[in-house]
Amino acid sequence: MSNEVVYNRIPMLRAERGISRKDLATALGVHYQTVGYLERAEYSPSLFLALKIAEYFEVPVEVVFSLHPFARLGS
Amino acid sequence: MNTWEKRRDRLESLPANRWWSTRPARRRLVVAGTAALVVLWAGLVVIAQYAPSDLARNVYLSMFGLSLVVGLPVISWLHAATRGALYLPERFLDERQLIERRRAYTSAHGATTLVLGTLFVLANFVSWQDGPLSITIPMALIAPTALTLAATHYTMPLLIAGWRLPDPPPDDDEDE
Repeated sequence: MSNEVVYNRIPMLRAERGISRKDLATALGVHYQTVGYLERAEYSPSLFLALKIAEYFEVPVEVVFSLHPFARLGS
Repeated sequence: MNTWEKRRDRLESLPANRWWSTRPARRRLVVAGTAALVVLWAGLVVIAQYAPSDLARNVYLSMFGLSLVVGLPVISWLHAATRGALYLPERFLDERQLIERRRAYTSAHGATTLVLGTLFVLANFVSWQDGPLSITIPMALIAPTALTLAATHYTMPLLIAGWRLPDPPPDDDEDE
C-alpha cells in the first residue's frame, strides 16, 4: 500500500443519500470491500474510479477527494 | 450464469469469509499453510536420507498425508478470505483486487526465486561433499521434488496475499 493518503468524503455522501456500500459498489462495478477500503483511505482509487465516483454523486471530483484532510463541518 | 460467475458467487457466500476475515485469523491460516509446506519439504530430506526403504516410504507418505490434510482446507479458506483475488479470472476482479493480486505474484516470484536459488546451492554442496558428484540421489526423490516445487509455486502467492491483506471494512449491516 502507498503511504500517499487521498482523503475522501464518500462516507458522508453515501450517508447523506442513504446509499449502502453494496449499492455504491454495484453502481461502480467494484467489490463492496473496495468501497470500504476507499472510505478508510486504505486504498487510493485510480483517476478513472475517482471520476466515476464523482459522477455517481453528481459532484466535482475535488468535492469527493482531496490530498489534504477535509475541514470539519461548522469549523 | 457461467461457471466462473457461479464460483465467484459461491466464494462470496462461504462462511469461511467470516471465520478468517480478520488479519490475525488469516495470519494463523498462513502459518498453518506454511507449516504444511515445510512438512512437504522435510519429507524430501527423509527420502534423500533413507530411500529406498519401507521406512522412507511410510514416513514420507505420512508426512505427505499430513501436509494434504492441513494444506487443502487452508488453501480453500485463503481463497475465500482473499475473496478470490488469486483464484478468479482478472475480468471478475476490480482495480484494487488486481493490484493485490499483482503484488502477491511479484513478492511470490521473489520468494520462489530465493527457494530455487537456495535449492541449487544446497544441491551443489551436497553432491560435492565427498568429491565431485560423489553421492547417489534416489530415483524416489524426483516425483516428490517436482510435487513440492509445484506446491510451493502455487501456494506462495496465496500465503503472501493472506498475510498482507488488512482487516476488511465492516459489512453494511454491521455499521449502520
